[in-house]
Amino acid sequence: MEALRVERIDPYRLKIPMQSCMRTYGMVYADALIEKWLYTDDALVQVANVACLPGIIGPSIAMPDIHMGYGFPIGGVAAFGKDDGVVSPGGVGYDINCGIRCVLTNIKIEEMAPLKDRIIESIFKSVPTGVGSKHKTLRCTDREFHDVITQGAGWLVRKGLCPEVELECYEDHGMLSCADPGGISDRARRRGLPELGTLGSGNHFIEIDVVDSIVDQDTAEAFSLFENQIVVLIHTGSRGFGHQVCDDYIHAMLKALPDYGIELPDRQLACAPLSHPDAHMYLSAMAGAANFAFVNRGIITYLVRHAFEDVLGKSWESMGMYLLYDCCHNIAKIEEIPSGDRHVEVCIHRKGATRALPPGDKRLPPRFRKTGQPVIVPGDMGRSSYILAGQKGSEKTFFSACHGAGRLMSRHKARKQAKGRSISDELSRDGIYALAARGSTLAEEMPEAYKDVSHVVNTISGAGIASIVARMRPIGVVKG
Amino acid sequence: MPYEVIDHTADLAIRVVAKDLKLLFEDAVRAVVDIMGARADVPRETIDVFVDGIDMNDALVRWLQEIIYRVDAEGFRLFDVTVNLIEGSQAYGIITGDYLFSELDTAIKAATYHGLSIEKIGGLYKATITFDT
Repeated sequence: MEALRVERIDPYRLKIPMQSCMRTYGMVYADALIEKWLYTDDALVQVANVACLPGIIGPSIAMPDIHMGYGFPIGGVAAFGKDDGVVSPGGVGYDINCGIRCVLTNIKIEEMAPLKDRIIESIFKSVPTGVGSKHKTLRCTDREFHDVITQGAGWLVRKGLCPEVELECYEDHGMLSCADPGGISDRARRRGLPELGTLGSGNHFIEIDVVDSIVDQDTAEAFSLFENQIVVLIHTGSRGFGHQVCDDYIHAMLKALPDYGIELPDRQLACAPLSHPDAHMYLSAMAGAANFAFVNRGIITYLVRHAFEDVLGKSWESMGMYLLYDCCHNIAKIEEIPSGDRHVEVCIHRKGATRALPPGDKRLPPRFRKTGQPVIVPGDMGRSSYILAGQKGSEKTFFSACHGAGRLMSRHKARKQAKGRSISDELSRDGIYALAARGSTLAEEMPEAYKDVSHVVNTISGAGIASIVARMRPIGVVKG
Repeated sequence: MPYEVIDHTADLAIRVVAKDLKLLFEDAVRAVVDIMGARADVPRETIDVFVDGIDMNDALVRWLQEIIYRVDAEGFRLFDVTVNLIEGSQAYGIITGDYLFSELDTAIKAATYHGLSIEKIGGLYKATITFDT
């Protein structure tokens, strides 16, 4: 593709007009500062490449935390018609249903401050972290693994690991019902079994935050958020299980592209027509991996609650450690979007983006129907994170918002820049206690490696996609 | 090591240069093993690796995916790699090492097709490979 033409259409949006093989235009949510960062890599070309896929509906969208991925950009959102569109495993990514959750507490910073180091150490001890981490105590039989894949968070309830009342606080109640183990390879099973209940490495984390600013008091109350409150963020996904499912299907679809009659600008966009059985096979296998990820975050939550209980000597229920919300970042789902005066079903891909349903949406549980869906936007481990609420403007983005700050720097570059520095000491000076399975993770994940998430959420808020409810800052971090 | 790391905002990309395709496939494996920290000191076990892609580029991705799977899922750590055959879209070789399950330095989820190229320039084969990390 030749040099892309890009036009600014308002303070929050850039348009990539149709050019080359594009079947529709691109729409990138970016303010002037984010726009400057956009030209440092090929992320915009990737937005344009997605627009070349058959059956795309509306624009190829990118959120303000956009950065270059492989195939789809990170921060990419695209919808495809059920009759003439496609599903692309690369448009979901290898870490299927990598996602985030926020666990509330009724603990205030004054009570937590003297104990936070002990809690972080206790979490670090009980949650397997790091590259290829396996669970040494949790033993899941083949039968149970089948139930995890098909039942998702419902399995947690049946095992007594999560209260039933929490299921409404999961995206899709923590279970994609189209999951079918039939399309999942033995390799995926073998990779998944020992990794259930593990954090992994890279950008996965468990973070203790304090709410340091309430922006929207009414919504904060509805979300049970208050100033100086301790909350816990957990970010991880489907581990090696998802990686293998994605790999299996990219390979299969790549081979079958000539049969589908599809040509692509990038092989990583390998896809199958939604009307073809291959697409259904992938969506059911992907749903199994998504359910695995819901359970993974649920098991880690169980372990985190017990870490709090051990250190504070109180039950997790009495500490109010209930789920605010759990949402997917990497997913493809059949969802409804408005089309004129009716609704149509499309296949929405979110690759590094969060669903953000607006107030009144019938898919929300009653407690969030007035406010809109909680949207959790983690920043880097040294600066702020945010809780937002989905707003009416999210209709323009297929009900999607940003998922984080977005990387500015490669891991390689970050490691180079961190040479001779102790990131752990630097964080400690800011009151943040960080533990990681490997020191190099802290270097790769250092705050400067990311955009300032405040710019990202301001763009989302300015565009009317979601509104800012509260800001948090980290006080303790566990990294892989 | 016979590879160079290229900046990629989200992930990891490397460039491998070799005088023939067999060496290119071998060095790409050595690069993955070096980045992941998946080395073994003794060739206690031998594994045959065979891949059949749709073309040479696909074969390289499949080849590396096989190695990543052995390392990540089976705990295999590599002593050495030998490619015996590269033909059309197929590659066959052996890896030696041991099932050590030792701690890894870096996670590589997958080798991707994004920006993948194998080129012959000035008598040398060059490949650029992006990994999801």
